[in-house]
Amino acid sequence: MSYRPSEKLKPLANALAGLLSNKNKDNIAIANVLEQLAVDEVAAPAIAAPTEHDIELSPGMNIGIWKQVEQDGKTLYSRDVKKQLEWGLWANVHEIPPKSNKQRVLLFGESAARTVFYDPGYNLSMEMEHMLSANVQLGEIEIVDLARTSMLLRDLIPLMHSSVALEPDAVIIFAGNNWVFQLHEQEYDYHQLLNICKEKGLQGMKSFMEEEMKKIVLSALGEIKQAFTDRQVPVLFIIPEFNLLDWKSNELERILPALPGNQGLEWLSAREEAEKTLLEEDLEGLGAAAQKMIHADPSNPYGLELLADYYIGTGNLEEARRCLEIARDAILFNRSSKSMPRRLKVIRDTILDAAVEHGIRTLDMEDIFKTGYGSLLPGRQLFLDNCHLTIDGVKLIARYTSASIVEILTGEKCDVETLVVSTLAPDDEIIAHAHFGAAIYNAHYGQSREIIEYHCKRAYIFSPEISNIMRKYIDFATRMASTLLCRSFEELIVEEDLKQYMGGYTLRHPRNTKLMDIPLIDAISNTLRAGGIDIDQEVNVLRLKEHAIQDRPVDLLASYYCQRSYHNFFVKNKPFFFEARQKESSFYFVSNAEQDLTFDFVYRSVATKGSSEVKVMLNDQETPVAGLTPSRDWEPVRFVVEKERLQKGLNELKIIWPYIPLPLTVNGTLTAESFLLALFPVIGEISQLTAISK
Amino acid sequence: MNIIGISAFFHDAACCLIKDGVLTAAAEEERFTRIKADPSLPKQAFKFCLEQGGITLADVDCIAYYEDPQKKLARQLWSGILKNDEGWLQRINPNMVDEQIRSKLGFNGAIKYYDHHLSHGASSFYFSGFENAAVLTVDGVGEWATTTYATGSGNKLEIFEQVEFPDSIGLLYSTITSFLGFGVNDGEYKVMGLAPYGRPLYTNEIRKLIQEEDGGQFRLNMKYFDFIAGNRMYSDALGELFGLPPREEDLEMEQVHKDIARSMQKVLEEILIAKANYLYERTGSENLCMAGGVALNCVANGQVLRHTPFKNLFVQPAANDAGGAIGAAALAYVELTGSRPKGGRLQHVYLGPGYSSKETQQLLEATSIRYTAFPQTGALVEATAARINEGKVIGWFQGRMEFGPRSLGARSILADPRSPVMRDRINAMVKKREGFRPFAPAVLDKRAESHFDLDHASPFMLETCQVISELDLPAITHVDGSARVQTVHRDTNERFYELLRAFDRLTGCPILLNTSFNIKGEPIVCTPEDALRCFITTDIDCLILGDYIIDREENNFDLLKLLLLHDVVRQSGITHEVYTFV
Repeated sequence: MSYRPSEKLKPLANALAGLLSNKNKDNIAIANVLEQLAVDEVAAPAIAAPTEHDIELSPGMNIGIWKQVEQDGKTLYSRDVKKQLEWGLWANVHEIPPKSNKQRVLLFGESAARTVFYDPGYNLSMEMEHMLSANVQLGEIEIVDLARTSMLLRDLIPLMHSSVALEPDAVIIFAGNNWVFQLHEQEYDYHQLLNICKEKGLQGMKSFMEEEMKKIVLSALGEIKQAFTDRQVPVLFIIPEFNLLDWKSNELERILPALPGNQGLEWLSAREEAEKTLLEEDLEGLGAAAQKMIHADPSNPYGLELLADYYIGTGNLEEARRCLEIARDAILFNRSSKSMPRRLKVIRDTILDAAVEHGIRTLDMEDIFKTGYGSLLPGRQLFLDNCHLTIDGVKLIARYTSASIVEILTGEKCDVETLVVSTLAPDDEIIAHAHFGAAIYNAHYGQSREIIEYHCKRAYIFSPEISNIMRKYIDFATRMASTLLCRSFEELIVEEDLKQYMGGYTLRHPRNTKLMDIPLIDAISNTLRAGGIDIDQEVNVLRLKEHAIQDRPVDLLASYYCQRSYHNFFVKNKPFFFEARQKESSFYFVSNAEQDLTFDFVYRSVATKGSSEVKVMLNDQETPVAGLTPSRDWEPVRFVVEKERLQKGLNELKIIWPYIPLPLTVNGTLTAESFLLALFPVIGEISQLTAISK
Repeated sequence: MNIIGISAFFHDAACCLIKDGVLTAAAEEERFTRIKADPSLPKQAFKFCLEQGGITLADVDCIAYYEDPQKKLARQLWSGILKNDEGWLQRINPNMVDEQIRSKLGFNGAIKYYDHHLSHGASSFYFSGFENAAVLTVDGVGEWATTTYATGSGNKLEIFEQVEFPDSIGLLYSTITSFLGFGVNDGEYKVMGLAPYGRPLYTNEIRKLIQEEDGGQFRLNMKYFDFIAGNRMYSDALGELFGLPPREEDLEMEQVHKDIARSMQKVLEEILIAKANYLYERTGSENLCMAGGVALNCVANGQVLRHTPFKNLFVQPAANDAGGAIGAAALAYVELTGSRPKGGRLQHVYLGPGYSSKETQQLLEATSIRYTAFPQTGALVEATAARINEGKVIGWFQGRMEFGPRSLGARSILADPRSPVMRDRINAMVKKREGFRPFAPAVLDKRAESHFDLDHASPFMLETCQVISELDLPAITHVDGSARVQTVHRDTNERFYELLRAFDRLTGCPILLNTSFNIKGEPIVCTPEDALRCFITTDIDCLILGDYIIDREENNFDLLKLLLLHDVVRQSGITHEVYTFV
């Protein structure tokens, strides 16, 4: 369609643009001009592009990375070379053969089903196939592993539909950890959300998001029914569990929202009190302070985690579980863009409620773990990180799953206890590499030094040779150059023969976002020292060589120095400057402590003159380096740190911001971004922080 | 007085700093984000400009934006672009630019908005060194204007006539670009390169697409276009007019496609000459300034200068939208101080980031790469010239990065122009581009006249002229005997100049093939690490990285190449199906 709108409409378009651009919108005038402009009448019809859903909702030519191939009159599926970059996310299987006389079970799922820390040397699919093969009443059986790391619900649905072509006898779906991310892909009416927040508080928003999540889960169950149960293919859904005990919120996931009155100040004060009681091992004090934190900010996972610590201390594991589950579900508030996958309570409840009517059989990991471990909370024994299972966890799930599959395929009751125990086990090297990978993952997502060191030590116990990998890791993590370009990374790939992590490739840091990995390197150093290898000097020399501040300004806002983990505030479109939503902002720098350092610092804060100072602290020293006047305008200051106050090697500069409670106020046009920015307001900003030796 | 100029939210976002009247820094955002033609707010380029200028955010007096968002919205409303987006009225944010600058750059001071074509005009006139000039801007579309006619005198720049959307020479050229199977906003220069292989057999058909009118006006016959609807550039009628279907990107290039390209180029030149003559009549100035995407058509520029009374021509080297940033900044400077920016005629565009030898050494030391240090320029250029003379293709990374779409000896791939196989070799090893497109020569300024029909400096590679050299220069000579020349001057790029001298001493040829240092689909390299990645993942023979030389033959890059190729996710900030109006 070709057309040229009338010239006469140009003045109207100009008028309408003027009205729309005016901050005080005159809606009546806008409606009048719109009517005259009749935008819709001159519009060409929109052409709807076919969606992915339209394209791939039927049994198809492609199943994930596998492409249909005709060979000797038979149809099989072979890995598509065009999708080679994606191969590492799937099972290391080049070809899915034509259906034979074996019973065929498809396994769908995310990285938890992929058993990502052990794969491809060992995984859930292997464990189940091993176990099922040992149970002769089934005859020959094969598991086709279609699990994919980072599988989103929108990817899972077309995959399920296309996989019908594989003629499955049964289907296992071990998914749900990534379904929460579907919430991020929806559009919302932010006026409605803003009203909910104002009228019902953050709990109202949580209820709203849970309702949305419920709709997503029900829709997914509908798709499963359509793909399989309507075709008389039985489905077993494994509902995932979360590492409640050993995966905690990161500092960014603890930022304060806009709270009414002085609740923000109350939360901060209660936090200080709670952390003090923790140090003093005052359990009752901890419980009381944690309750205050929850009262002040019920959306914040930290108070709940501390209260869980209290309940664990008093032996009340049921209450501890309740607290940790609510803390886990705080992801619904979207503080961090990198909150790790997890199954929420609403996901589990919805699946359990609706599965039967969709013809889906369920296996609830929460129940299985309770059966296996009593009231113990799921922790490091079952999980390597937030949701990926240890070998104990894999074996437990595989047993129950196998029992269910036997029942499905034979129609007869199968008691778990009667199943032959699988003797399949990965070798020590694979286990060591899994624990070291877990240490990295825990470190990169802001977990405690204790759990990072636990995994390093486990890795070393299983295979002391891992010290070579650890030392190479320290080298490429400490260098300024991109990990992929580092000699030590190349050597890791060539010399270490890693079975996991695509031969070590996925251990790289993302381009232009490198961390200094201090807690991880400390954990490695401690581990090796305990094994008789002292690398402290080596680490310090390399750090000084790569990072020591000399005669060129070093930008402390670069990721090496200002970022502690890969958590980022949820809003994707970040400003060019550093934003602080926590009271403390921390920056590493490296000094040879031989010369004074000059810092150029440009900042602004929500607090204004008259509030308490913006304090600059160094290395836990009690005397501030500088006390600065809070200012809403960008304030450039220069301060000098004398060499006597510096440590040779790593130093830490902390900015302590004054906290001012802010009401929920949206600036500018109400969008997803402005809504979140209003919900989690900044308290300080830094547009420059450089250091130079002079 | 520190003025930041910004172009963004269309394509080729960029940022610049005019510090106390001097253009101090300028860079495209794509170079930092590695997203080709990145249209997003240039946050990283902004940070670079502050650092380069040695100023802080608190020191910025004004941000000048290269477009008027309200006028642009009016044009979008008129053309009905927003209608395809359900619920557009609720989602539209006319104050988006202001909000983004405030919230993402943290700037609280004055923001000044200048019209898109006025910014283009200013980017040319205020940096031309002309006291007075006629100013012609031609591109796809800005707000309403697609072509403007202006006079510049002293510190004044005034548009006296404009052609409005949808009548657009830029969109006409883009439509033919799209019909020939190239990407819009990306493939126009391919059409220019293809044209000499064709015959002007379709000029009558192309003249049916555009009707010349009085004064500076012209009018597109919208029967043949579909870009207002926003889904594709041309209507079915265009295929009927040419008697053939649109070419699909991967299909063979036939003679008829070359003939259409030649015809389009010829009609473009005719129109530009006619309109430039009109501009001369109106202004009487012998100086012509040009900017806007169409001004990057260096073949047409040469024709304009040859066939109009204009005696002097200045084309803004960043004639595309990126250059709008420096035009807007210049306009703000004039408005705030009453004076033109300092420095007279723009001497160079080495306005981007540079890296110290120490930083480069630190990077190389972290790797397994074998390299040789050449701390003295003399030895470095001798060694480089020797390698080029051996037929090697060189990645050349020196000094501050160029601003604008052309590599001019800071981020360049260099080779021997005398080699008959060099064009195909470079295309195969790195550029992966169409074989018909010529490479450009860089020549010592003082020796240019001996080899090219050129009587003035051409430091920005924006003009074509005939090759008159006694040397055989097949790698840089186009099928019609022309070349797109860059003259290289000691005072603006000493190391590149010395390299050319060294090559001249060695071979008697003061010319090098010079093409941009990037892989197809990626922005030109910015950092030493970008250069290493590009070098390793292609088959370039040798990388000159500041003071260091890395020879491929001394290294085994098989593993690194594999690792880096896995790490590449090429992104483009724009769609190439249709001109991105929004």
